[in-house]
Amino acid sequence: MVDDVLMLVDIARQIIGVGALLLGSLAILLGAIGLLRLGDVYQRMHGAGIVDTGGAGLVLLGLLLLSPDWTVAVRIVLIGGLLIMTSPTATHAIARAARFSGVEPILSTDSKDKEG
Amino acid sequence: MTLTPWFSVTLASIGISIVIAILRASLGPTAFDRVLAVNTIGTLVVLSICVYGFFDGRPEFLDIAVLYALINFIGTIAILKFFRHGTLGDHLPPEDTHNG
Amino acid sequence: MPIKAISASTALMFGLWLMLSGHYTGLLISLGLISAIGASLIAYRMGVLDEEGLPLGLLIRLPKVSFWLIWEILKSNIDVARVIMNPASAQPDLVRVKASQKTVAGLVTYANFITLTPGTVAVNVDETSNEILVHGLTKNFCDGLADPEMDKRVSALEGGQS
Repeated sequence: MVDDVLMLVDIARQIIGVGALLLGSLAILLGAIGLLRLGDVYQRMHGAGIVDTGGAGLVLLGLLLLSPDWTVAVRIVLIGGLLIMTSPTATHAIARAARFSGVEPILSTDSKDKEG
Repeated sequence: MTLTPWFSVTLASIGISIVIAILRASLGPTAFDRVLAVNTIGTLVVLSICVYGFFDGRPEFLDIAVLYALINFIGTIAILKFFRHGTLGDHLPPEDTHNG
Repeated sequence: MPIKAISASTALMFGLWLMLSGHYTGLLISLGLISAIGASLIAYRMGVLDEEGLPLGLLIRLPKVSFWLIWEILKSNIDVARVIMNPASAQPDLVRVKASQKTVAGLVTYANFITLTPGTVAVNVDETSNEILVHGLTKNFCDGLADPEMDKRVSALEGGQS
């Protein structure tokens, strides 16, 4: 009885893990397409943001659920934490550097007075 | 039940995304498009190292992925700093040192 | 107070070492402990173990906000994906966001959270006027920033002290 329940939990874990992997792959592809299709540097950053958060997060969640061993899980959590801390910093650094070197974003509204 | 096919699907989609990002890096009108694309490629390489470790049944690959995640970030910051100042920090003008 | 900061950073580093090593013999554990203490002492001597380098209160309260943050990230991921399918629907805009954080670490955390949710990227952080210049992908994202919920949650992360 207990064995049956444990096996069911294991199967559920694997199914959710594979689902997260596939969703993450989809998010990564979408982000990469966004990186190619969107209008200017600032907009492309949002595409890269999908790869960094949704894509990486879901793929790592899938691997975490499928990991055979707790030392593997620790490393995956560490990689996730590193990516979550560094990717926004890198994106912000690129945005700031682009703005300071005079790359003007395409703006849709007449909000020219709001920029600094 | 073996999970290898699912890992190869993930690896394939990461590979396609890397090709798309390389396309952006070679097209990119400004230098910042290229840096952004290279940063994204770095993230994707970290992920593909992780998935490949699982695919091959050798999770020791994750240690390499940890190091790659660190180096990718430092590399991006170093490239941006080089663009802005033309040096990596040895001859910064004094008023610029706090916000470089 | 150096003792508290040094011991906290030693505990963090030694915990990380224990989780990553996987070898638990007396010699290896004591070597790991010695290197954790050494690294903390060097970090203290470099002067990076202050409120800004090791924001303990902020780190301890971080798990409380993370579930809400993950939910926000998922929602805006879907919204950005929709824009990517139809790039013509993007209405990019720059907006200024007032931040109510008192410490630099809190302000940086707020800017990081803004950048972490897809659809909004912090372009410039002004620490004198506590304003963050944000690039939003559509009007929806810019309007979402006017909602002070994230600002409040980050300020709660900072806690009452300092």
